[in-house]
Amino acid sequence: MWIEVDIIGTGTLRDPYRPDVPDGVPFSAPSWPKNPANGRPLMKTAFVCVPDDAAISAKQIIRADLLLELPKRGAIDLKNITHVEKSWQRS
Amino acid sequence: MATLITDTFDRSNNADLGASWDGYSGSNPFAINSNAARPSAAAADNIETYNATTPPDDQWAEITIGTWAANANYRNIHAACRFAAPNTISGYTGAAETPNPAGKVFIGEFVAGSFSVLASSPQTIVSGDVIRLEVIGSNLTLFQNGLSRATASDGTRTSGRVGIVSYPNSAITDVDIASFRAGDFSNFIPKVINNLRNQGICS
Repeated sequence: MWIEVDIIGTGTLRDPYRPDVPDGVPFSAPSWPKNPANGRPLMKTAFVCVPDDAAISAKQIIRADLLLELPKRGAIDLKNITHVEKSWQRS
Repeated sequence: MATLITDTFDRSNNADLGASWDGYSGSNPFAINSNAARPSAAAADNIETYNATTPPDDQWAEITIGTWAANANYRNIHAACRFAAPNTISGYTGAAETPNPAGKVFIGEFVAGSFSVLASSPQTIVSGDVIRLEVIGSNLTLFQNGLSRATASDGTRTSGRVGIVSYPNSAITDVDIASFRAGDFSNFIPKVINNLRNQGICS
């Protein structure tokens, strides 16, 4: 299933940026936008694919068919990334 | 699929891997120790890339783990693809680590020195494991001993060098690389077709 979780870590080899998924749970994450100057995530959350039976606390579970609709919404405007970031942030 | 680079590190102990390998400012080099590539610093990044040959954009790199200490010290070891030339620390890696709290393999990406994990799978890691990263277009696949363990998609890095990376948290004696190989996917399709022909599936 697809879930939305926080991105945690400090960006080092010992504590890399990663989805907040418990150790022992396999995951595959679509790449999240990063600041090309320092590699920091431009968003606070990431969509991650995990096994359906994984015991995970997530911000939300995303229906796969809705995720497949994302490409139809057009490319992210990297020149206006501040606006994009704000639109994705969760309180 | 062709092997373009092979280094078994079978040479005299030395603080440098040799002229075909480059270190990166801000990180530490590997050293030759007992016919293996060993990180030179603990609790720090150790990074080198191969400069004598750069495979085509669709490329693979693999390491055979030599020493993998049977203790609780954290360490990771990586095969790197599409890595920028010194001193820009940007590229993809396929890695093994333990413990955290248990072993795992994962696909990662350096961007200007910051490291992110793109996919991960819990696995037991032992000495002799072969960790391999294949990058074809924007598809990244990590293999452990020939088995696909993790996949990711990222189109940020389109070309670059192959190399090795490690972070031994406690002691440089916890991990080393017995051998390194890298290459491309030339002749891959003809080999697949030949296999199908040999099996009588196509003519």
